Amino acid sequence: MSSTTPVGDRHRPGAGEGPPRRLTRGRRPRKTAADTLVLTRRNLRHMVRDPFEPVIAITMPVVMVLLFGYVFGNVMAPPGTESYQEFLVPAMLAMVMLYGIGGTASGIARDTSRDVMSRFRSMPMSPVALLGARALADMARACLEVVLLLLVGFAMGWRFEDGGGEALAAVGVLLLFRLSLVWLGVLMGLVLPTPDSVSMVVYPLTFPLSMLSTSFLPSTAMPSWLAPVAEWNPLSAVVTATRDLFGNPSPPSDAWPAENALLLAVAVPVALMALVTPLAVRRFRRLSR
Amino acid sequence: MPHTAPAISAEGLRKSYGTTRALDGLDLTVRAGTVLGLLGPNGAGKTTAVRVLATLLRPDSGRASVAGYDVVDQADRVRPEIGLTGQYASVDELLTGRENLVMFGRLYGLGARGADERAEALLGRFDLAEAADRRADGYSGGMRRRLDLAVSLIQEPSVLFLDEPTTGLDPRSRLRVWESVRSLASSGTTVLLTTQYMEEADQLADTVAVMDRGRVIAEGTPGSLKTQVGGDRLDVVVRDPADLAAAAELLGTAVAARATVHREEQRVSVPAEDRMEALTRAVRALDGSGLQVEDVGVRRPSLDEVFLGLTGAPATDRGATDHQSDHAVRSEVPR
Repeated sequence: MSSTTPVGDRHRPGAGEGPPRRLTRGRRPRKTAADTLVLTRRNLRHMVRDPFEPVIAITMPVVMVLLFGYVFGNVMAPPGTESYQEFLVPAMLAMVMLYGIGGTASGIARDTSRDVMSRFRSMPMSPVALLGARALADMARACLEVVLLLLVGFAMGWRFEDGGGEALAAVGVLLLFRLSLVWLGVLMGLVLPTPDSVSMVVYPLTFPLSMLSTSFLPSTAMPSWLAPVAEWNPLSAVVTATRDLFGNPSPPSDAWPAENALLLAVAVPVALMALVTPLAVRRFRRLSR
Repeated sequence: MPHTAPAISAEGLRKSYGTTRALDGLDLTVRAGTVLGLLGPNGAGKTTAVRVLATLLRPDSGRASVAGYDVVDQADRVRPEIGLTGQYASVDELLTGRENLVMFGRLYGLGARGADERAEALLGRFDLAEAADRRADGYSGGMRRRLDLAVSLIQEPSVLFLDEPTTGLDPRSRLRVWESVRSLASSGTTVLLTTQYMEEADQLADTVAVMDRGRVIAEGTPGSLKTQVGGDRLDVVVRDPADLAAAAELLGTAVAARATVHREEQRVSVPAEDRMEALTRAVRALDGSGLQVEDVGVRRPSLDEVFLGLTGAPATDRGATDHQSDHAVRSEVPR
């Protein structure tokens, strides 16, 4: 503590019984954790009260699972696989995780463009709490999306074949992927100038990424120059690892990324997070300063 | 002891956006426990000044301290001491009034129960109890502003920044905000208030600083400032333009001062050092003079006139609209 008393204290009536005014160093992490939870609750409330975007985001993949499964299913089943559902559900799960980046980025962009952000930033609060709350709320949403999509898949005849532990590991791979994209989305939301510009940037990026992968077609069905792109696409690694863990069939491939899918599905998101999380926090600290 | 230490002090603050100099060497001192009115038209740099002092914006150069702490190097120390109410209510629009107060209470470090109790007390104090469980996006402008003010007071700040707290409010809501500011000031909170209305600064501030192009161009008590720019005026609007000259002579004699004729508005204007006396004399002189009078009133100098008096250029040059200054002229408030 410095030796000078802040001037205002003397003037405040009943200053003694007032709320705690300053945090000692030791309390900081606990305060940040508590703030994160308070703000997570706020973000979840926002999703419930302004449900348009989250509802659309989950409706689309459900509709696609139904369409692909029932309409194209019999034609599109790749050679060597028994049912297209088995092939499709892991791909759809990974795609929902990927497309969630739009919700994160626009959520952050909307928050920073709101006047309430000035209040948050003028308060004694770590920026980590605001960004961490966005991450937590979006992960809660991701869990809900995974469960919902698995139920739809189940209703259509999709099954996991290798036991509960491995199925949980598959869900873990998907959520880790989503977590890394949450932080990438946070960074994008902070960098892009307006909430509107988010959708203009995010969808043109995510759509080709999801198509240029082994999610829906085996790489052998692609032109030879395109096949390596799809094989090395991180999304392919996530889809392949998920299929392997669920015990669902993958298109046969002897490419290195396909044979080491699980390794890549863990290493790439971890590396991505290590890169973008500090950038996002730094960017937030410098917001309009 | 820090008896002489100012609650807010700024020295040579500069901040540019591209080629626009928002702050151009701002110097400011606010004694603890007083209300400073920062008066200026749109674009004078008032909001930028508040954002720098509230730790939201880093100045390009210069120094500032709030509650004894540097706003750049010790921003973490400044933040627990300040409350901020922006030009546009900065509350969470998707949350109810109560949820807003509880959430910000928790973030200011109150426990769950403490935050609930504080919310309840503030809802009552700002007359929001009935609307407490409605979402803030359904609030009227005045209610939002009151909620915003209530949120700013959760942690009992020692320094409160109010950035144009009554802009866009109807006269009744404006009076209520004024009441709140007065009661805060009397309890010892230091208040920095920005405004475009001379009337508002006059009503609330101990000291007024007039801002123009990013710096303070005049500072003093509202009284001394008004003397500098000519003080209150008494206006008489006549029905027939032909009566203007007669009215000017009559009024000039009545208050023993020179009358100014504004032909296009059919208005005669004389200085009114003592509001009531000038009014009484004018009405007495007009009564039985046979002149057809449309309107008589005493008014504060408008921001335009303050600027005219201080700089010789109208405030509209900086972007304040005629409409806004007109509003200031017309908002007569009973004392």
